[in-house]
Amino acid sequence: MLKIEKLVAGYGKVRVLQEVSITVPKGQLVTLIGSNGAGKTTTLRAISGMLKPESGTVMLAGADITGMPSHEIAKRGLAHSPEGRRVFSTLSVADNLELGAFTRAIGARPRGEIRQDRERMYEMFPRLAERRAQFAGTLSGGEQQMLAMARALMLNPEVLLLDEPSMGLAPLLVEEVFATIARLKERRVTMLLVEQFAAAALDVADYGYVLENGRVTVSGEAAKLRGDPAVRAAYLGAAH
Amino acid sequence: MLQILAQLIVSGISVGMIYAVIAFGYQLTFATSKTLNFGQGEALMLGSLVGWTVVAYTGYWLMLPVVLAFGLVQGAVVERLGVRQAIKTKSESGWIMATIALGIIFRNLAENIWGRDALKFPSPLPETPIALGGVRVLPMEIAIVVGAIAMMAAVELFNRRSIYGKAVVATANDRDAAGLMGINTGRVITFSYALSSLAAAFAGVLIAPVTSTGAAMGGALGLKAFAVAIIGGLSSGVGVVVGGVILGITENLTGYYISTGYKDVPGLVLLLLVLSFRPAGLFGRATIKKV
Amino acid sequence: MRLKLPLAVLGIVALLLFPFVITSPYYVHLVATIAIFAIVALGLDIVFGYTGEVSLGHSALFGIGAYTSGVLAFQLGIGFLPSIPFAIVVAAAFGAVLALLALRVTGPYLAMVTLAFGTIIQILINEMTFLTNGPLGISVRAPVYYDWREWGGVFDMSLAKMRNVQNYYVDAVALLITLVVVTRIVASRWGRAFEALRDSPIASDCMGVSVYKHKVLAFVVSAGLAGLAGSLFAYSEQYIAPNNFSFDLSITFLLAVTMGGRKSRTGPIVGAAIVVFLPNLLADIVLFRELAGVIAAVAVVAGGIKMVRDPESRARTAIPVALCVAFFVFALTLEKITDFKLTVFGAMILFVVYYLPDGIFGFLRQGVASVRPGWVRMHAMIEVKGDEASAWAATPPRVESGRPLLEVRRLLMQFGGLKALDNVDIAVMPGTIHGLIGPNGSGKSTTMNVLTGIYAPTGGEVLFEGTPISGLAPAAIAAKGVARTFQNVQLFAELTLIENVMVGLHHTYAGSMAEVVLATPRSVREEARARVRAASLLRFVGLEALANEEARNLPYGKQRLLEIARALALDPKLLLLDEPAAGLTAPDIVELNLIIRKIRDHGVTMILIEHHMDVVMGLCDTVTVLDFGQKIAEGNPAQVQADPRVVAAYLGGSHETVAA
Repeated sequence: MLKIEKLVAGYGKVRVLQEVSITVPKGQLVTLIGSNGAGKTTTLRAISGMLKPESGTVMLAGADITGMPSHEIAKRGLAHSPEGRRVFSTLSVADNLELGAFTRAIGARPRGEIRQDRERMYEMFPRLAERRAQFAGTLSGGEQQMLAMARALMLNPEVLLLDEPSMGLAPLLVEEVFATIARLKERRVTMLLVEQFAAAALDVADYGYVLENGRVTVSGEAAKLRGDPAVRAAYLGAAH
Repeated sequence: MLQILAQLIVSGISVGMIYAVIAFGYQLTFATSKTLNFGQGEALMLGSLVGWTVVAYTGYWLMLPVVLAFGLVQGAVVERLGVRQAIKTKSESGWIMATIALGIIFRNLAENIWGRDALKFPSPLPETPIALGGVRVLPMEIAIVVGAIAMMAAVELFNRRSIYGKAVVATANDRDAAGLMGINTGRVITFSYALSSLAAAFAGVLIAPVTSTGAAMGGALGLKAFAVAIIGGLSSGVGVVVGGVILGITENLTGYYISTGYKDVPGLVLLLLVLSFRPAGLFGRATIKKV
Repeated sequence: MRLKLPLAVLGIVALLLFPFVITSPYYVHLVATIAIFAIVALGLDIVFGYTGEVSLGHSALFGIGAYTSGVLAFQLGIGFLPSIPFAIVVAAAFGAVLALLALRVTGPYLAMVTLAFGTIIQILINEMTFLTNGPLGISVRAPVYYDWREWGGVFDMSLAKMRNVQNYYVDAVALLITLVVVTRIVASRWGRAFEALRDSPIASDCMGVSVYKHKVLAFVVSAGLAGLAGSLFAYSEQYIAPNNFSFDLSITFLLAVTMGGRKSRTGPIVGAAIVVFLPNLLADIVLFRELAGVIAAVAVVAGGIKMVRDPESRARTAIPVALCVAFFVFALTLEKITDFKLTVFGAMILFVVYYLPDGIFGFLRQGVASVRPGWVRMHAMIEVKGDEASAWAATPPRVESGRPLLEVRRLLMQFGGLKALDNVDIAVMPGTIHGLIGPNGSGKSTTMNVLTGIYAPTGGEVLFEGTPISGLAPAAIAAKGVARTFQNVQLFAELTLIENVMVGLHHTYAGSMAEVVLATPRSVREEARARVRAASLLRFVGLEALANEEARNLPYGKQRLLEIARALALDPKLLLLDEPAAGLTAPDIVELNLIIRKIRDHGVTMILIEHHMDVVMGLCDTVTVLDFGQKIAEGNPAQVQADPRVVAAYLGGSHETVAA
């Protein structure tokens, strides 16, 4: 469904990604793990058009989307729940969700359908239903994360990119986030999950890539990576 | 004595509402793109002069839609020529200089088309003041207050209710995230400029029947409205109304009790003081600088 | 460089001989006006080119200078030359007021402050009739200094003409003095400080170069020159009125600087010549049409060549060419162009902003550089050799043995409801490398920012050498011997490498700006000494060969090393390294390891934030681990690495698979 090949990207003179190649098959959950500064977020930004790649290709459902502006890529069915959640803080929870479906709302689709989708999100995230009229900026970190994920799902995406959904959350909330991801996986949502918490990510994923210094160093079935000492070394360094 | 004071306050309010509308225009573009049109006063002046030409053929009320449409186009032109490139290259001095340059060009062209002298703008309402408890108010002054509030309320309603308006607010909140929703944020910014100039053009035809119009009317108004936007905070809707009214009244008092020559000074001094002591404005919130 | 001196001599000779070659009083006056505008433009360049701020208040400062001389003559009968110092001082004082008002703002806000300031000054000049004679203006008479008519020959001229010529020489000499003053200031530590605060205010403060102080200084110098020019203007025109000093004049000055070319001496002079000549040019419609025709022809030819050579940029090249042609057509249709002067100015500003961001002079300089790279230098070449011994000058820390150099006590930092740091205690022992690690958002960078004074903590205190430093300004903390590097590199992009390091050496100078202008032996000596030290520090990090490159042209890894060299220039007792290895390649990291060890060997204590665990574990004596703003572990690297809380914080809560 999503296939990136030899992606090179960076900021100004700083080259962060060195020929990264990742494949996300339809209906699967692939995770991209690695320590801070390895280039995980940059990878997602280069995929969704927030950052223009220097070279390489990004294919979504067989179409080349490399270098398109992010709003064009969103129209083609790629949703990206960005790092730091980035909810629209002065809009209500309901409005945030409605904007998640912006690409559908401006077409000929009846508004009722979007409303139904929104109700489905409220069922999936009951806490958002309670707070539907509240400004998103007033939500707690965990609730904002739920909202960011729900907002991305409102696009009815072909592929969903999740960037560090556990970042800055207390352990209990982290578990909740991962439970949600597991539920989405049951629904066969195609996902690329970026995580710092490698263990938890590999527990839910089908396949994993380890990113180190802008390069994929290890990849394989998630089950196999779980016990791999190379993964631990990528975070804490080789034991001295 | 007290009656004069009341009189000054009442007419100060209507001028203040004009400042509020222009300041509101500053807020619109600042929200979406963190840029401002330094030629905002010229947008008002152009709208007012175009209105002056059109009003002779159509009368006041039919002139309004023409002027509003002109404002939209003028704002879009400013964004296209002066701002878009600078946003892309992140050149702050680029858009500052470019919008100033466009402002000068507009003023100079207006001088050549409409001349340098003040022009009398026909009033759509009776020009005999109404006495309200000893204070005499022009019907047009009431129309200014009503029109200004209606204008700002309409934009606010649009932003809160329609999906496009919400897209504007989303862009203002977080441009990158809005792009991820499929919102063409470049177009939203163009739109905010168009809307900002529309507000200015509307303010121009609201004030013109009271003060007359002319190519030179823009500069001081634009600057004082910026003072209002700063006093009110670049992110507070209530702030600009309060700021505008405070400034309008202060000016009238200064003009009456000190000298009309110093009428513009309090607004400018207020601007300097607010920016040197509370850069985020009296109603805005300070932001934390990040490293 | 080789061209510069002969051209300068030629220029000076031409300037001095001009009134005797072109004897028309009209042109003598015109060139005098150019000289006056050039003085303002050179001063404005300090604010606009060097500190990077748009000032719309220079017409007012110019007016203040003019009116100081005018009022002194009008009210007190003080003559021209004696009034000049007053004009400079009064304008500089107003410049200081303006800068103080604009201290906490930048960009559009600062532009608006200067605009409001300018408008107020114009109103005051207009209204304070008792002092300024109000809208009627003031007439003054330029003096005759020496009657040379009896000499005969070329000196045989009318009184009015002699007055005109002698006045011309006053203006010409003032311009030459201005050139020397500005050139010396911008080449000194002050000029580097101005550019530093433009490129990275935060790094400036952390290098001990106070942004506030230097911003005020830049405005004061700039305003003083505007005041000088204003005074000259009053006597050149022999009449001043309030509407001479309007907003449009400020725009004219800005146009002169941008059009001519920022950050140069030639640029503002060229720009001043254009803005003064242009209105005269516009008066002659035929000449104007011809000139527009020539410009259009040049644009078509140059654009055509570029389109053939570089087909990809065809669309982009076509726009300015089309604009030039359209401008020519516009010129043909107009009968009278004078009325459109401001439109032409506005169009020129737009054109310059988009297509000539470095101005005409910058454009020519690039053109020459592309053919003969050796002929032009954007920066002074500094080619002194460094040596290892000159690199180090730090005094040993003043702490009792066994006491920490830096002590953080119950540090609390709250942003709104969020506790970024929650009762953190850290003790850094002298001579050690202290690691600070933790997952994203754990509070490492916040700690760094509190330690260097960028944030004032909500609670708790920071002691350095036993005295509290929390709450001090960054420049003050830097002066005590705390230096840092930045996670997202904060170099002074448009300065060369050696100049970057020399900003760090700002504290080693004692000479005043006056000494710099007069080039006293002490200031020359200080500069020479700083150059040697800077070269030595560059040598230490292995960047000596690139000393005269602009920092922005460095590859990322080298940028991080340059930041370290710059920080060492502060002679720090404590050096904070914020993710020095981020984005480095493996060989770069090896080099970095070596450099950090060497720094420690010279007795500098360090705090190291880093995500590359190999680096942290290999270098640090002690490691503190933060998570959610709290300290969760501390100890030597091996202890920390094995701590289950640390593993959980990094790899994720309750999942044991990887932790095993």
